[in-house]
Amino acid sequence: MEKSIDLSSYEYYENRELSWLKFNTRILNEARDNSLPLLERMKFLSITASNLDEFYMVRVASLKDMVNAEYKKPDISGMTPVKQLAAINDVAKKFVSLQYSTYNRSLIPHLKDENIILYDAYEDLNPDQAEFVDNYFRENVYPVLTPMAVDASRPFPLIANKSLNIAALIKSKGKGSKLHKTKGGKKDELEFATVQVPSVLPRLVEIPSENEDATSFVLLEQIIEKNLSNLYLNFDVVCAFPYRIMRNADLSFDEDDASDLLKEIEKQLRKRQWGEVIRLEVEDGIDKKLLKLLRDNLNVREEDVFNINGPIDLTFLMKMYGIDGHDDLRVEQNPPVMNRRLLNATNLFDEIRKGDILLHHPYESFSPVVNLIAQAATDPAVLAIKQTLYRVSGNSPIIAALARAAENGKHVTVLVELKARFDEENNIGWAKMLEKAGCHVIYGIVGLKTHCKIALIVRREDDGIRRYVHLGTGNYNDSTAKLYTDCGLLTCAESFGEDATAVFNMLSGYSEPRTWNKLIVAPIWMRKHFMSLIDREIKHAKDGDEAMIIAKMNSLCDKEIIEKLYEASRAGVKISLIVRGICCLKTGIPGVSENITVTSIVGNYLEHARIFYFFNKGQEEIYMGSADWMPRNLDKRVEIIFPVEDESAMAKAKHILDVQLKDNKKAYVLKADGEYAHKDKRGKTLVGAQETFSEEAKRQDEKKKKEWRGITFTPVFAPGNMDAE
Amino acid sequence: MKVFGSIYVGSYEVILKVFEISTEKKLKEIDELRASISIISDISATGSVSLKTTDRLCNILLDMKKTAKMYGAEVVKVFIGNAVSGASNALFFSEQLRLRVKAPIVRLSNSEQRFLGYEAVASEDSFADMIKKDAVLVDVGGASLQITLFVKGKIVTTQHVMLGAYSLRQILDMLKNLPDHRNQIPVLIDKELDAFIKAYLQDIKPTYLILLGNASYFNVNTKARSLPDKCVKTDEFIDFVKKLRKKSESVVWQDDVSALETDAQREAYLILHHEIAERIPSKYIFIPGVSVSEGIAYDYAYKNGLLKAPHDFEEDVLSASWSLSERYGSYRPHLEALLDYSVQIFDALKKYHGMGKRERLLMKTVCILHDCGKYISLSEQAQCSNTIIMNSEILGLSHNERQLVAMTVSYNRKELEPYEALADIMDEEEYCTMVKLLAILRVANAMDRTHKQKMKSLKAVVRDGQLVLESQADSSISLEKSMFREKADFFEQVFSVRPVIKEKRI
Repeated sequence: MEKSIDLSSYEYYENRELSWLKFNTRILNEARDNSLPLLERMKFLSITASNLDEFYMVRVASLKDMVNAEYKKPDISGMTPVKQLAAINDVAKKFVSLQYSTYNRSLIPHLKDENIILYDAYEDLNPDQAEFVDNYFRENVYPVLTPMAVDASRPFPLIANKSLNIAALIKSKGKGSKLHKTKGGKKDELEFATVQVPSVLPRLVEIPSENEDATSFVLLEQIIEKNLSNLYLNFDVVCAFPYRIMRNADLSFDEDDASDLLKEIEKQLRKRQWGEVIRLEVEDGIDKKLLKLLRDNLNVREEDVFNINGPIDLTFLMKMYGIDGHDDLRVEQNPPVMNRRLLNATNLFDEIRKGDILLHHPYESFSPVVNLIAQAATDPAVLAIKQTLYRVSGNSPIIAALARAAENGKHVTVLVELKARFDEENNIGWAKMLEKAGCHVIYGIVGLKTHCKIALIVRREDDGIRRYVHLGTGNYNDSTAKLYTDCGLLTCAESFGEDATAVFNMLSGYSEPRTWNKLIVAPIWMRKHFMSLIDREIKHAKDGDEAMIIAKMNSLCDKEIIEKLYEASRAGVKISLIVRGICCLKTGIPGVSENITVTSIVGNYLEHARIFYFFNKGQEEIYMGSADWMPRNLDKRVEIIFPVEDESAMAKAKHILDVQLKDNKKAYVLKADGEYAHKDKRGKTLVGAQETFSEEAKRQDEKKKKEWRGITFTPVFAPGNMDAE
Repeated sequence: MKVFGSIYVGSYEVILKVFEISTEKKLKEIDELRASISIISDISATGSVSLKTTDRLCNILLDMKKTAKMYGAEVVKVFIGNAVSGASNALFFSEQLRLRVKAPIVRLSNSEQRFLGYEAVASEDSFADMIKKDAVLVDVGGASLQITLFVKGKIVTTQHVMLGAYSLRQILDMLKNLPDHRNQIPVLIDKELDAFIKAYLQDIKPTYLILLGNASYFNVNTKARSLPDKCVKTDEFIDFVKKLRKKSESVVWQDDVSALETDAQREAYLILHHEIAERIPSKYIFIPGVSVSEGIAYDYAYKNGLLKAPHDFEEDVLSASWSLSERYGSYRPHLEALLDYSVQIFDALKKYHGMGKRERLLMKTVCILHDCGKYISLSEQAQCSNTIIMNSEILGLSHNERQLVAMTVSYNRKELEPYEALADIMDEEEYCTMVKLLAILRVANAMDRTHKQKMKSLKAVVRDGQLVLESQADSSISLEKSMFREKADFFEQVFSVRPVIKEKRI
């Protein structure tokens, strides 16, 4: 008889924050990978830095809220918020140390070898360079600086969240301060001053190089630091060090937080400390007195101080990645190719009518999606366009097409999700613009984030109303579509059209449909549906049939789903998970998860597609969509998962999963000890999923180009130009 | 192909359905918008529809109209369900909607509303076959159940049981503290259903039970729609509903997981469907999943010649009328003769009376039911006929039409009152129609005064300003002739044509 095990036990789950930190470490590993081109490594390091910032602002801030509210409920791994914070601190500090050792010991020396010199200390500049930066300071920097000093009449200023600042101890050239006194009553001659490094100016400033072949840069804070005495003319600058703070200033709660947290915090509102500093980064070797001043005035605990052995805030490295020239230091960019079905298509609607089209970005171009909306905007047969927008690019051609459609008299409905984190302001701007153009704009749904990616075009054709639908796994963002791996389905199947209409009706405030034909929609139906799909595999396994689940997603941290996966594993279902980021499931636990493997691919492109495969006794089913297996996706967002049913689209989706599972170049395997390791490559053909897809796309493109070769083009001349022949 | 928008304002929900109507696709739904609205709770609480609800409804209707227009709908019709008639401000409420939404608003009587639902289900392909094998159609409404029995393809009766989903919900609320309320409530329903079963289903075992009603409240509908022919074996259905009643969170239907929200209204529907399926004998249950919204569209399509009705709805009216007359012991040969005479006169006078197909049907109904009141009282038969007609549902006739029939019948034996005396129940047009039908009825009835059908092979023709009624008679018709004269005077007043009998002796 099967041994009874409590699958909800804490020991079977990983803490999500620690799992996320492991994911960031996998990205950092890319920065540490000597086989990668140097600027690519810089890019990865930059990504780890911005990721960590976001992690602190969202997740650590939330945990701090919990601690302040004396919320003690443990997470799925049994850790209380206090324990989680302590563990995060420990791991994060080691992580930062690894980031800077990579930066200092590997990247900077290698950059130098490539004749790219980055001065992160002004003392290293030669006289010409020093003069250049002084001039640069006078002309560009000085006018936008606001130096501040602190004394009894001027309290400690408000330091902006995430801003880079320079703290200094200054000493009056006269008799010193009359206001600041030491403990013994003796007048302290040192005063505190701070100046914000302006974010309006580029952090990376190119300066003249010592030799012609080299490209040199200095960091903006070094230029300011060098000229600090010009800001405090009657003072001597005793010492100056950059610092940065991160505040818990976000008034909203993270949607991943426990649902009862809000109530808890409401009860203890007074205990919540808005604007509390949750991290202070200071340059290693900072003057002790200066650090104490900062800590005292910013109210920072010792454990929340991060000593940084290098330039604070490494996100500037992304700018470095984009410097002119040095193409040999970057991975060769494979431009997206046109999906072969659409290569010669003049009318997208005609092509979609022939059958579903599955797009695989960024290997295949995102432009058909943009073109579809653009074509719809001017097509007289189009009656309406409806679309959800979560994060859009700056100058988005989709927004422009939607606005044009409305101006052309089409009925345009756009749901702009204002709650998309970090994009709130951007999205408000777009929403207003669309409204002005005559679009019917819905500003999201109360209490839910609309995360699904769906576009619907209603056309009146000869044989009646036909609906064209695009469903995606990624945002309608033509910029990120070049960097994120995503899938999108173009279809005009009636069942999808009906469901898409129902989705927009729901988003417009009308009741849900009585039944869905194809789409699985969160928050009401999705969780149950996934559970039933897993249950079905369990049933097949128990009946002695082959049972298999392959699921690719960004994060897996939903306890109910994980528990069900454990149950499936115990029943004999073979489960292969491809989880890019957080994974709270543990592998290799005897009697619990022996049939589950977890791989994670971190590559040049950000793995973003969510694909779910169920063997179903040979009647395979594949779903794609916008949802991860996270509580927020299943319970707190409007998400859509759609089936891929067209035979060729299904084959393509299976191929994507197949190649991803074969990846042994970039894929990590989650081991039983909770650590991630590269796959054993010995004796195996090397497969890199992203490389394979790029190659396949390139080959497809070349094949098509060859077909074009040898074709004689027959120009059509205007009647008057016949002589030109 | 035409695009049509049907908006139905129900007691707790507003539904827009946009349809494509074409001979190839018949009726194809292309969009559906549903929004909840608190009309019934407003009326229950205050007796009228609140200003807030009216405002919200206007906004919803405007948006729905816009949506329908988006699809290129040339006609968008707004129908208000009968529940609103219970509101003290029903008139102002619909006037507000008309003015603000700028769309024609039709207030449906209970009969019209039920008929539209019936029109939708009767337009289903399998309907004709089902009623041929005997069927009971139960329309589950908010306030009552309407039960129609079909035997060999014809309507036998339509009865109302005054217990609907909303009234049951109120009972549930009232009794929820009784420990045994879940067992008590079915007894209440069974009592009502048993009366129908005793009266009509003693010797009939219907093959099909057709469940009609607000599909949105019932998960079973959703499931059944996915079944072949939308039919399910009665046993399986009962089993499923039992499971639904037991489980409030999720249920299993053939290994498939289905969601079920818990609310009192849904529970009321479940109880009703369960009891109906258990008490009314049937082999299969048909859940068409159509409602008034489809009926509105079919009605529009049939009336505008866009589609041809697969079912003869006039025949329904006639067979229901025949059943009624039979039930009340009318003498069928007389009715048949009267029908023949009336229709001949009606058709001959086409140019003179200006009435149409619908009035022709009403004429027939008047004939069939004109003396059903004899069953109660010989001396007060006209008044009793009126009472019977007004208290019997004739599927296919609106409330006003039924009233018109009843009034015509009641004036058959008494002096006609001027319009002013009836102005509170009918408008001038209806009054005129009634008088025209009455004039024909009186003349036709006089022609068979002896109930012996002496006048055979009647031919009616207008000649030289006279309606010549030429017939053969196998015995003396002097009595008929003498009675006829009196009626002919009234007839002439109405049509300016004098009817005369021309007799041919056999």
